[in-house]
Amino acid sequence: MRAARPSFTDLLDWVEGRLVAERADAVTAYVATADAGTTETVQWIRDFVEDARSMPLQQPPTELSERLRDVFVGLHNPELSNDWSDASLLYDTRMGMAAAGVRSLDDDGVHLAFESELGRFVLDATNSGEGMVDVQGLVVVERGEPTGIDLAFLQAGSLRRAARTTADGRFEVRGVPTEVDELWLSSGTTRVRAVLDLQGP
Amino acid sequence: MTDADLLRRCRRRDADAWNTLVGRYERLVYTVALRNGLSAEDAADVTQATFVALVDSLDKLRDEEKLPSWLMTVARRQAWRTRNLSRRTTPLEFAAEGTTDPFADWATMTALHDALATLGGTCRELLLALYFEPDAPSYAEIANRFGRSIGGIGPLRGRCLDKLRVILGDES
Repeated sequence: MRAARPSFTDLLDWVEGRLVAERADAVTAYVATADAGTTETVQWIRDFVEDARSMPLQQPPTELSERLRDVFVGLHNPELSNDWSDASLLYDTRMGMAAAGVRSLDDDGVHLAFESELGRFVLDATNSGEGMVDVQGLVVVERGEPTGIDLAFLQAGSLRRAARTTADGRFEVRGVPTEVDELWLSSGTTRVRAVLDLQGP
Repeated sequence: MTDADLLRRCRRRDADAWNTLVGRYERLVYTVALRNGLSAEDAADVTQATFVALVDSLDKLRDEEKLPSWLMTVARRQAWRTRNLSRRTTPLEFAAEGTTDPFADWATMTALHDALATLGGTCRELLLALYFEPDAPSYAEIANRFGRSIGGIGPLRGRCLDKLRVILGDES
């Protein structure tokens, strides 16, 4: 008489070598002459175990885990931190303010340059549709190891867009509403606020 | 609580929901970054950039969006960008040799983690603990962590894995 078909858990235990010898022998015998369904199940289990073991999940450092949790509140409410400063506008193409080494108005975009505690940063906003601009920029970090900087674009205090710079300070955010009126930059405990006007010239 | 529930709460600025999402997926995102050949420091930066991208996309993500594969894809793109940046700034003699794809089967891995998210709850946590942790914890450790008897772990993981198989079958 043919033995009863092993359950899925039996087959899993068998694949993982967790069955007692007698039971393992019985399952081995069954699988050797098994129906297509059982063979398929055994193969699926083997594939799953192999796939799972091929990418073990690494635990991030505690400091990173804490930063990731802080990101949410930090982007939505950057002003909650007491330790922040205002960036000063160096150049705005619409106002014809001159500053050495800064490009001039050459299209319908807005080009801004700021000085801040984090370093100098520039920002280009070009029209990308009704009430929207694409923003590209660069933060020139003056001290410390290169690392990303979190950016929060706010409109009347509400987060509209968020991004993080690459390690060399570049950033690009498409489809930013022109009503955005503040940009916050955060790196570690340093936060900088810049008043923005992204309306075209 | 499902990912869709958590995303809905995050849209209402619920920081506790955000913390739960981070706890659920920080290892996955960090691992994708590391496996793209980044240093621990760069992988941390990519992980943070990925979660910032999630904040940015909260209003755009649909409820039916598979969050694990979305996060994995964003992390992979960010890692590529970081690697390319590193290549531009690393002297040629120090640059790594040609890089191979660190994922044998990207589609399989994303589908697997999406299915685990659909499975959810204790089953997801149990399967992650048993099969995805680098140090392969014993049943005794797992039983202690989940507040269950050792004898109950084996049958439970069998039922959970069987459910996962059905989910993957339905989604493929």
